[in-house]
Amino acid sequence: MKRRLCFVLLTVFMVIFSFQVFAGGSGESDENALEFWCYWDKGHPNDLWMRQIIADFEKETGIKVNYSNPGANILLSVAPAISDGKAPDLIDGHCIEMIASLGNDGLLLPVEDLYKGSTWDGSGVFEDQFIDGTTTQGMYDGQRWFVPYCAHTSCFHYNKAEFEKRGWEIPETWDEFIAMCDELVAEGVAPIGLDNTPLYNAYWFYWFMERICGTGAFWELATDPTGAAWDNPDVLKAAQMVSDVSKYFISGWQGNVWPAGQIAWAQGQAIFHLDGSYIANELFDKVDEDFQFGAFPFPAIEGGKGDPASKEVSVMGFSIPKDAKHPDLAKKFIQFALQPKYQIALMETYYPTTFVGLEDEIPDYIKDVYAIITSDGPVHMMYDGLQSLGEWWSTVFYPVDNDLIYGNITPEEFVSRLKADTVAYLNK
Amino acid sequence: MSNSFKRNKKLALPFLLPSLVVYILFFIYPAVSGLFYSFFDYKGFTRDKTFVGISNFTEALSDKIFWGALLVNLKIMFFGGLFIFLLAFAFLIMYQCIAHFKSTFRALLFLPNIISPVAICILWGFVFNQNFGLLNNLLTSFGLEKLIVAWLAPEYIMVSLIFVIVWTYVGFYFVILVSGVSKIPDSVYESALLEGASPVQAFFKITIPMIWDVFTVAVVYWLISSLKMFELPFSFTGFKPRMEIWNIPIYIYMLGFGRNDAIYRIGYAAAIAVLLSIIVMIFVQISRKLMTRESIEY
Amino acid sequence: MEYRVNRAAKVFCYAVFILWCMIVILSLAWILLTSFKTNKELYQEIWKLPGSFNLDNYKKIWSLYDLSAFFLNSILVVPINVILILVLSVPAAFVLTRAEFRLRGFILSFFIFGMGIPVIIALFPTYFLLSDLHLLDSLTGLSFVYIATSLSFSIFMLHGFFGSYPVELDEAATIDGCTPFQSFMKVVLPLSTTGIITVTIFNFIGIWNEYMLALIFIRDETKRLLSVGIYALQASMQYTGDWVTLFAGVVLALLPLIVFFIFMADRIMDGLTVGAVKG
Repeated sequence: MKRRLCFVLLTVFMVIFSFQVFAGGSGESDENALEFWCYWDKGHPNDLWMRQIIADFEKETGIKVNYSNPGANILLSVAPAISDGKAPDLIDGHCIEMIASLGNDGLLLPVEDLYKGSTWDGSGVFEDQFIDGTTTQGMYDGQRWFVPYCAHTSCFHYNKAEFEKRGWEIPETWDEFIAMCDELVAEGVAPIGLDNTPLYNAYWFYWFMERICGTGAFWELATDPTGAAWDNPDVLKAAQMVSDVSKYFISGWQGNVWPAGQIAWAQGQAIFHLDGSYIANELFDKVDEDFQFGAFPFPAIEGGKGDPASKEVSVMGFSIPKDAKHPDLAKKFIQFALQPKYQIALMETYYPTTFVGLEDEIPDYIKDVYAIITSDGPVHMMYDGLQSLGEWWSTVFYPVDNDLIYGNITPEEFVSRLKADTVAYLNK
Repeated sequence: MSNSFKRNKKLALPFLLPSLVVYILFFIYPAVSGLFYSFFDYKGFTRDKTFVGISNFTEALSDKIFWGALLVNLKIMFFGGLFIFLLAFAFLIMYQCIAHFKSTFRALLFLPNIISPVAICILWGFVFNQNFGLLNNLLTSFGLEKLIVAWLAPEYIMVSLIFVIVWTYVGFYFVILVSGVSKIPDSVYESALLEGASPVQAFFKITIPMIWDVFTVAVVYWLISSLKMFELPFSFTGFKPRMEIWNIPIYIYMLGFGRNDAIYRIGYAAAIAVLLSIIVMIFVQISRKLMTRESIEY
Repeated sequence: MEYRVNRAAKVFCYAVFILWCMIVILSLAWILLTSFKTNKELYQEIWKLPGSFNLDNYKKIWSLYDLSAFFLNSILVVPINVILILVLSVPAAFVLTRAEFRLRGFILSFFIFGMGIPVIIALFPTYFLLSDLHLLDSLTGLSFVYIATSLSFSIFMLHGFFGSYPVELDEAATIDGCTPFQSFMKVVLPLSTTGIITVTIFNFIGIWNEYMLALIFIRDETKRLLSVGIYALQASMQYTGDWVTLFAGVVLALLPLIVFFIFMADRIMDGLTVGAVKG
């Protein structure tokens, strides 16, 4: 009897609760709210940062924000919604992903007026706040559609304590760097710690191309339908250098699944680590107290045609879909979010700012990285922008590049195979 | 066919119709329209599609990565399946030899199935690590230093992956087989054992024939789920799967929906999905043909 | 039912089970213990026990995620889905196995065909369909998709179980004067308990863990399922390398499943006894 009563009560409860939960299809409750879909998964430090900005924005302007977190797979959520005419008003994420998905097809709204307008507090021109080269990566038809809130670079990371111990200075040239590596080998310490993942493996050839052949040369390799670009002897030299540097990698690196290689580096089993500037964010709470994050740019290579001062800058930030219902609200929000105080708040989790003039606010862990990003010199995109040619990049380049770095093929085979594969791909 | 089967005919329509309606409307209709994209060049961000005929299919057939991914699928299917079923049957015999803690053992064997694949992959990534991994520490302490390798390096990663797959899924198939055995009447075994049959004989003479249908279900389910396996291999090498372990579902994801270096070729991804569905159907039909037999007598 | 074997063989069998179960327990224990560590402890000594059992990681999850609300949604949606799947698939599997009519083989193959299709390929059209039906952002719409995509597997599985008991039972019921429907209710269902429970468990786990569709079809935070919460937790903790919090999340996600599984394991034992008596 008791059981039956329980059962009935439970059923009644479930039915009532069901009506509440299953009641469907509304969603578009507030027509005047700003619909913002965020790249950061719920609970990520940057999601919390964004929620704070939104709370302040709602309080200050009275505009409601419908905020949700599709997360790192945001474009998978955005794609069907945009096709279905239900575009959100505001999205964010990596610029390079936006270029490949929406930007190159002109599906994002130009924001030149926002850039030319004033900052939120009215004290200056909006675009003057940004580091050079961070606002111009997302362009369509001569107009910018992307507003960055964070700027990254890739470079060598090291523990300053290890350098002090050995009395080392930052290596300016590749030869100096290799000399340091040889010293470490003699000492019995692995010079370079790394994880085996195609994305990181590709850093090497890209940086050698950058320093030996200059910005744009790698892009040309991928887009030359005749394949003649591959015949340049400097390309072979870059491949040769990839092959040569791999002997300084920590033993067993091929078996390092991220984050194993990072851990080994953070524990001091290896001294150098070529990686993005988000490394401090990933490791700040895991290293010893005496671990001091240091970074130096990829060294210059003797005889290289590339500008040794050329720096990589890759940005994350906001975009407005072309079919957004409230583009003005979205612009207002972007203007609000890009205030110095929020950039300072962003750096609490060691994401480097995209603003100039915040030198005094930079945490120690990312000082070197910020110095690289703001240094004088031309800007180039990560991997020369080749991630926007996703298919060539991941189905033509990655497999051959991995074979080279694993030592399965010679640099000559690398060049001839990639030449043939690229020609075949471009003439498909 | 028996009479009762003919009598049950009356039930066919009312029993089938609700399922068919839901199944067709909410799965088959969208799935088939999705597969239709395979005849188009389609990026996914507008409704614009360009008809390209069968060129996506011809491209797939000459695509090295597709064939490589298929090979990975077949390796997982064959070797993973072999070890999973050998182990599951071995466990089954042993399960029938013991009297205590049976449900505990069964629950624990099944447990890895409900752990998130991401956690499983992080755990085994640490176990297999060359430098601080548990496995190599263990080998060292047994004096087997010769066997130490980088278990997740390209040469060995398939072995490690298949090991983790077997470890994770063997409990699932074991539970299916146990539920098959559970409906065999005890009397059948008792008479056989009275006649002096050993457990192994009883296993081959009674258990296998009696659970053949359930076994068929398990095999077919393995074929399908191994060919469609996504999450575990996807998480196995960190935040991005390394190419050595790209199987077809991972390739489909990379082609149509991936991130970082996404390709946005939903039409091509759909063409490969069509090929995958065909491959699955071929394996299912072959195995059902091979494994069907006359119904058993009690 | 068990074999009578000599002591050595018995010991061997126990040893094998205990060894295998130890590996499972140790891996779970590692996940559990790691969830009490700090990231620093994890990075410095992966296999060491935590210095102290601090609950910071759990507190962090509790403050960041509305897991209890997500949990309530899941605990409501998942059982209803599983029950509806059974209501639809058990009768369908029954007639597809134990009735004779035209198109039977075709319809069975048609259901099995669905198992070969990767669900992700149906993602865009399903989105458009739900949008046309005004079922986006609604758990009803999501449930229809879950039920439809689970039918193939469930029917196929039940087909295996229904196929494996003797025809004579049906006949006997017929002679007793049962209508086909009565014999289905009184003979077939009780005999298939284990099969039905197996299908229930697999569907429960499958839907409980599904997050991709739930993430894309549901925007409203108050309607989020636990799996999506756990997925977001995993993704953001993986991105920041906050492994210990990730493991705490894994433990929290596991607990309800383990409770469910222990409960269902008992039901299976019940099912076995019923089968033994009737068989």
